[in-house]
Amino acid sequence: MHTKKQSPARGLAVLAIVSVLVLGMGTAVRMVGLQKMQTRLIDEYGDHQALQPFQLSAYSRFQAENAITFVALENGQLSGQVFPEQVRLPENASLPDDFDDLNIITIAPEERDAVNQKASYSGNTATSSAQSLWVMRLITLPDNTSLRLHIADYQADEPVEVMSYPAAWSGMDWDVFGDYGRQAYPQWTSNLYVRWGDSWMIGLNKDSILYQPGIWRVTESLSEEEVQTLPTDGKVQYGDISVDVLNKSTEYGSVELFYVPQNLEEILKCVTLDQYLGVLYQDTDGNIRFDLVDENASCLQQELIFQDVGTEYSCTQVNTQQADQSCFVLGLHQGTDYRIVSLQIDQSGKLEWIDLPGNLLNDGSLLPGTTVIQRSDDGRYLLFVGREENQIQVDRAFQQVDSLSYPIGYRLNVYDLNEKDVVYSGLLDTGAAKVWGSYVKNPSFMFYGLAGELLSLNRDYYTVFPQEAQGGTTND
Amino acid sequence: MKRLGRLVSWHWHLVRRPFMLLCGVYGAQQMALLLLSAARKETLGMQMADLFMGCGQLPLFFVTLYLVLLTAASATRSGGRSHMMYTLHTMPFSRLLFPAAQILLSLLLQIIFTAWQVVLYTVFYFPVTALSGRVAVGLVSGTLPAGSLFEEINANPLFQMLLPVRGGSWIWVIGFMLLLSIQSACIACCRGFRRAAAMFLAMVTAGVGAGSLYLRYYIETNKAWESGVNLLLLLILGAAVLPALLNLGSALWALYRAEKL
Repeated sequence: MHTKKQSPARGLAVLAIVSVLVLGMGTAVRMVGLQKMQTRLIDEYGDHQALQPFQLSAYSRFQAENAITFVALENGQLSGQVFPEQVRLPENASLPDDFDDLNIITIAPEERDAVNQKASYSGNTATSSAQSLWVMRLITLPDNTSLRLHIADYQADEPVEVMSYPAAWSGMDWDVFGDYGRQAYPQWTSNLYVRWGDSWMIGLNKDSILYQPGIWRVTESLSEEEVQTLPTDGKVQYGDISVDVLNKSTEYGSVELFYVPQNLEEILKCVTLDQYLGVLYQDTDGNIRFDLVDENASCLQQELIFQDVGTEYSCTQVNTQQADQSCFVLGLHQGTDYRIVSLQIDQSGKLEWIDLPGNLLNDGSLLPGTTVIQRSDDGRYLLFVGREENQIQVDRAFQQVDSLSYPIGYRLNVYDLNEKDVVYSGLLDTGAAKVWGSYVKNPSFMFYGLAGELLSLNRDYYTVFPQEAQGGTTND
Repeated sequence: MKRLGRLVSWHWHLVRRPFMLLCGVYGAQQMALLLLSAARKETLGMQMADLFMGCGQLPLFFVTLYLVLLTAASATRSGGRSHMMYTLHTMPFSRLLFPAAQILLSLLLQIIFTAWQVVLYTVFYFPVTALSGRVAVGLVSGTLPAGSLFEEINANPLFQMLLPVRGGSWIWVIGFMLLLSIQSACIACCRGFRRAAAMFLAMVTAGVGAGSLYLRYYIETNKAWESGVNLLLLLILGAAVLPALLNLGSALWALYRAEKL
């Protein structure tokens, strides 16, 4: 009888072929899975055609998957794309949130010698005291250039402690350490800036005494390297050593006054509307006004938004994704009464605006999560985009029940101003739900450093609706 | 070619039992750790990929891959009694056929082991997800989204490295495995103290090579191709390749000597 004897080579060959197939299938599963990450729109109420007049686009970034998804809504149609093995958003898609506006309280130049004489040095800190101080504003623009302006003098009633470190984030010169003067000049100030055409516009308010409150155009700002090469003009005494420094009281960069609204009390926001500059401000009578300004700094149109709102109010800018629109949410009467103000340049080039109550959708829950508010060109419909979350209760052992929520996407509501009702509601499923775990995870369960890299998975996720609607390109 | 095939198959015959045992032990520990951690209340919110990472399977995969290399090289282990290079004396082969066969064998074993990991992950996904789902039901009131295997394979850094979706990235995976195969063949060619040295150098290559695979993936996804990072990658690659070159020299010397005997 013939006994069947298999050669070991055949077994190996079969195993190898099967393995290569498995790896191929694994790769196919990954590719299919990446395509499945595309954002979907789930119609829930009303006619999908109600989305026709709106343009919306968003990028979602998934840390664990190392992927970015792009979604665009145009002519009522949803289109999407997945960018695998990519974690950086295109530059024009990321919000310019790296504007920095910092008040530094330093010593007046004429007091420098006296301060240095009194200086004592211990550890790596030099301490001294000064009475006449200068308030400098260091403004860092999103393009990573900066300028420093001397906005006010400040005479202290009695000597204030000043410090200097050889190396610290604040650099190497005397400044006030602690709370002194922070009431009037808080370290971080309001973010009043906008890019208008080729130039950066910044808003200065009443705390700036040496520069008139108003809208200023940045005419010169220096990069980090350029700041490094500025000549030193002062000294700091560190014990026995005297170190040459660039005084913190030295200005660099320059601005020119562009526009001052009439009877200005406080600038709230500056925005662009088509080719115009818009300034939302409060005047000395307590009214909220909006000025539309052209490139010659003349006010084309002034609108009275609210009359005498007092001092207890808040103002938030809401993204519109349209160049000819701007939207603000004002919380009046200490935040009990929310108003939505949507401004738009109409076809004839005129500014027109509407004002709506914040609890438009009856449930009142829409407003806090509002991400984008957009008006249709004919002005009849409004699109509200707000983050949607799922509520869950987690009962951890020996702990109280935590009420948590995880994101599931964005709610799109189309509101008809004529009918005063919601005509469409849908859920933009960005795939956010797959990160639910990171919202309920036990926070003590964490590794750092190399162990963190090797033993844990970061499931961070976020969605960005860029200010300008995007065409779906990436810097690939 | 036929001789190469015969040599590979003979060596496969010699190592297949320990190799299968290794795969089995690896699978068993993975299943045990995944199920144990999925059953814990503390891991609430961790899905398959998180659990996989949490119980150290990413570094363990590369450690086991190194053991696969040693297993492939063990085909030529002779217990110290007889001459190591028995094949060269008993078979009419060119001496270079010997490392060539070992390279091929080691490459195949690495591919099989990698595929084994994909299979394990796919198979374990279902019981692990069911178990962690049951634990979650007891702790969470409210709806939780249903996950999918697609998501969990994509979220796993190991598969992002080993199953690249961009064509060019395959070169790195194949290059990594080839480098390890060469190291394995070098271990097979040496004996005694040299073998221990070769094993150490192979360990360096495996560790540093895995690191460079990881770094390259990071650079690729972050679009961080800058001169500083490139230099770092080049240094790490050098640290992976240099031990391989050292070993290669030592292995060729061993082959030369064996023929002289």
